[in-house]
Amino acid sequence: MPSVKNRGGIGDDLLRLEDDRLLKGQGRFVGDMRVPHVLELAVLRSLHAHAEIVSIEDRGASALPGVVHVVTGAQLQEEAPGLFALGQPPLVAGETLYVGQGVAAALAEDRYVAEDALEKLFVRYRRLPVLSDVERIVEESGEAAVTLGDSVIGFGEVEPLFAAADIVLEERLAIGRATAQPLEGRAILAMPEGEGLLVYAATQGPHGLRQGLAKALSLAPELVRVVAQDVGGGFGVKNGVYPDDILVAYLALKLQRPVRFQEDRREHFLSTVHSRAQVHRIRVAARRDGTLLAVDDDILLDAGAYQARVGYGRTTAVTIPGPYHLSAYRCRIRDVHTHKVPVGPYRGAGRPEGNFVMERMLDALSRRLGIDRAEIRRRNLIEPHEMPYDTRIPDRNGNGVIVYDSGDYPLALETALKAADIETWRERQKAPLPDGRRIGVGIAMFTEDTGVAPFEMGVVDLLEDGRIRIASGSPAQGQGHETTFTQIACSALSQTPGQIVYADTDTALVPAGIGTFGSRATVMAGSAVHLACKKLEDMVLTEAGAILGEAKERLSLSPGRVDAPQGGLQLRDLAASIEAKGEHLRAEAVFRPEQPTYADGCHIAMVAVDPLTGSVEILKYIIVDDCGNVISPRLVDGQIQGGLAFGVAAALLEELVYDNQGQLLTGSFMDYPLPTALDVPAAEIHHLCSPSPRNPLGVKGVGEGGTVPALAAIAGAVEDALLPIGGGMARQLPLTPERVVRLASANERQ
Amino acid sequence: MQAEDRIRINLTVNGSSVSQQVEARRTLADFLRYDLGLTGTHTGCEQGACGACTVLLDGVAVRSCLIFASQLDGAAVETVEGLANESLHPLQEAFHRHHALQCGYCTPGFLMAAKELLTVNPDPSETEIRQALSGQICRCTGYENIVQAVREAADTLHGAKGRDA
Ligand code: FES
Ligand code: FES
Repeated sequence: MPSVKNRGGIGDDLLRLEDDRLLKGQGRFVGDMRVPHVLELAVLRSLHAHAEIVSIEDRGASALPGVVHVVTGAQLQEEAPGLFALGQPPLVAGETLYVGQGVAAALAEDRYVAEDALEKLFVRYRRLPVLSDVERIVEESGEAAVTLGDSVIGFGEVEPLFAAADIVLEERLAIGRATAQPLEGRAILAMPEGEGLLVYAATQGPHGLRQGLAKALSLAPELVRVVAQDVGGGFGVKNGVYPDDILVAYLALKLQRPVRFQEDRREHFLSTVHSRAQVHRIRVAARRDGTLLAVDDDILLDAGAYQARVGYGRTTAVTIPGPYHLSAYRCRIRDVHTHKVPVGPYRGAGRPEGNFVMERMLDALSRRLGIDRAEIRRRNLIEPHEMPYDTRIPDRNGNGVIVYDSGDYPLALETALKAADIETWRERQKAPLPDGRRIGVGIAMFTEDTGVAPFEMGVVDLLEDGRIRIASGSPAQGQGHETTFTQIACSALSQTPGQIVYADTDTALVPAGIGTFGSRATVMAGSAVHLACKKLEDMVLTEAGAILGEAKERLSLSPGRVDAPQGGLQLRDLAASIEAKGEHLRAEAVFRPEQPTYADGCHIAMVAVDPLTGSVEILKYIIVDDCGNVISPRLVDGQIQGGLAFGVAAALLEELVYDNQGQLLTGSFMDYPLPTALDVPAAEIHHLCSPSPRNPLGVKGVGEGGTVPALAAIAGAVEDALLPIGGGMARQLPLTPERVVRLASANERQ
Repeated sequence: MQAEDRIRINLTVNGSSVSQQVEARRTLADFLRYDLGLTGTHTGCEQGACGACTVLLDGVAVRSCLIFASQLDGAAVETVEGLANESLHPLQEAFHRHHALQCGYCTPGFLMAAKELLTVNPDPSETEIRQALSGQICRCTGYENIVQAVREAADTLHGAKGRDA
């Protein structure tokens, strides 16, 4: 039973402030909004991965009662060529490049009717050759293979170290294509307002969406106002501007009517960005005693049909070295063009893949050298006295070098080993369980750059009633920012939660912002809110000092009040007197750190594997996490436990499988299994605390730490379970039952 | 679809009588959301696979995306909006206390499925809760807190152990 305190400052175990409406079914998701005369958009999507659209015939679509507008890609290009100038077009006019790409659209007051209209559009396609398998593409075309990106990062000279190494291991490791599947699909509602638009969107980045829409429509950014209210999960995919967003905004402006698009699940599979989809050829050089010398990796990323709006291959590359010493490192990343849905970030955004390959190679080294998995890690970890640690890895933007800020990696490992009671499990796994299943133990450590990207802004107002309103550029999609940022404000301003009003992210209220992704919101927006609160405190005390005739240094805040040596003032009264002067107190602050923070931790998975059926049960799961100072304890644990579910999914369940014609074979929840309550174990979570010196709160991000090392920990455990019966190395995720059965009988010789 | 294809249905929703003409093809989920404005019931897949749309139909948990409103003449439907009266239902209270929701999109479906579970099995074990809720997808929480919340609500509702803990 959780114990509950309700003071509300940083570190207090506060219950969430946003729950009430969500529990009562009074959420404010885009689809829940009642808007008079709103037109619902339905999009006709390509049936072919690569084809020329020869013609689209309207056999009664426009004439259907209730249909307000029908438009094809070709028509749209003719009437608004500007929409086609940027990246992916809102609808295809010439060639479709993946199954699911929009080719035409219909608007009606009822989505059923809009879909009826799509059924009366007849598209004639001429099919073209399909690029599907990245390894084949590169094998056939070599350096001439079309890439949407090709870069090399690293430091030091790897080749001499490989030449001189006692041991060189080389493996092909692969992580399947997957996608986030937030339970609410993408959703956007655009309403004409003046010469511009008011947009409600299920988005992680309202400011980026505003920028993208304004650019596409050639509007001044101030004319596009974007608001993010309740959003039903994001996990990376609800960021940036989708073709459908541009279509909605354009049609709302053109028809001067509200237009809404709500993605259905089939469309989500076929048009929302996919992710992961990497094949690694990785080599590791080491000494006989297990000391790592160099890593050399060559990544092929199945990038899909268009350049990723946000690439994550380089994030994979900078994640690979992790918490370990390396003398040299090299990684080449090629984003190979295929006829599939374009890729983008998804919970971890490249980090789980990088962590997976490195941790798998450490396990391979452990096996080769006969050194225990924990010991091989112990021998290579960066020590706390080396902090801040210059990794020599160029950062993702290539402007500097990654320097870890703080952390005690050996302590994370030892804490996890102790919590897992690893010796007992080693004993237990010597014999099979009575039902024939085998026990395995997997260990994975991680470091993760959190709090990325340039800046975030906080805006804090003293309201007329004396309460304080806080806002930032980072909206929530379930993370609980209302609670976390309220706690930050309570501490900064000595208030209680009832004094704080949390505002949704609204570009009209917050002039600039980046968004919520990459475990950044608490680090970036939390710090910005803190700084803005401190500014407001100063303004409030100055104003109060003038009224009370006291130096502001002698004043302080308490809940709802300014306290003075004698007496003081209610914030309500102060606010009223300021408003009476026709003034208003607002503080804005931008937080712009030089470097991200680096969270770290260790996961240990204990599993039971049935070699005959390939089923995997996670018996126990230990997480040691160091995200610096904790603002909202139960929300942090909630992020970690929720993040683990994504790790379980990537390790065992989810894969977007395409055939060689670019058709998605796993396009529903029936064949792309999301983890259920039967699949995700309760993580036993332990915290370490190495505050980051890089922000005023000493925090590090926690949104992805539950996911990043889970792929490797679970895969390592499955492999460990099967080794005694001749199992092979777990090289490919997800470890579906079929793959586990094959792994069990791999009979690889050492 | 023409007006003449509409079918009149009389039913109760959260105890109130409703009489309405619906298209034959209108799903119960859309009927609730768009015709009655009860937007607490969400859809996550419209294929019967995620449970977000779960409501109680004559006391039984069903997927409202797979049922046509036109089939429901004479039925009694309960949705998340009917759970709380003056105060939150013990399940809602427990979800809050255990941080069993993040984005909250799946929550109405979980609450209704859990309500049915506690009716047929007032004292479920953790395993039974996990099994009973395995048709409900939550993408955010990783389930553990939901399981704990349902377990606590069972205690509260049936006055068993742990009431004041
Ligand atoms: S929306 Fe009905 S089961 Fe998913
Ligand atoms: S709380 Fe987001 S899907 Fe369950």
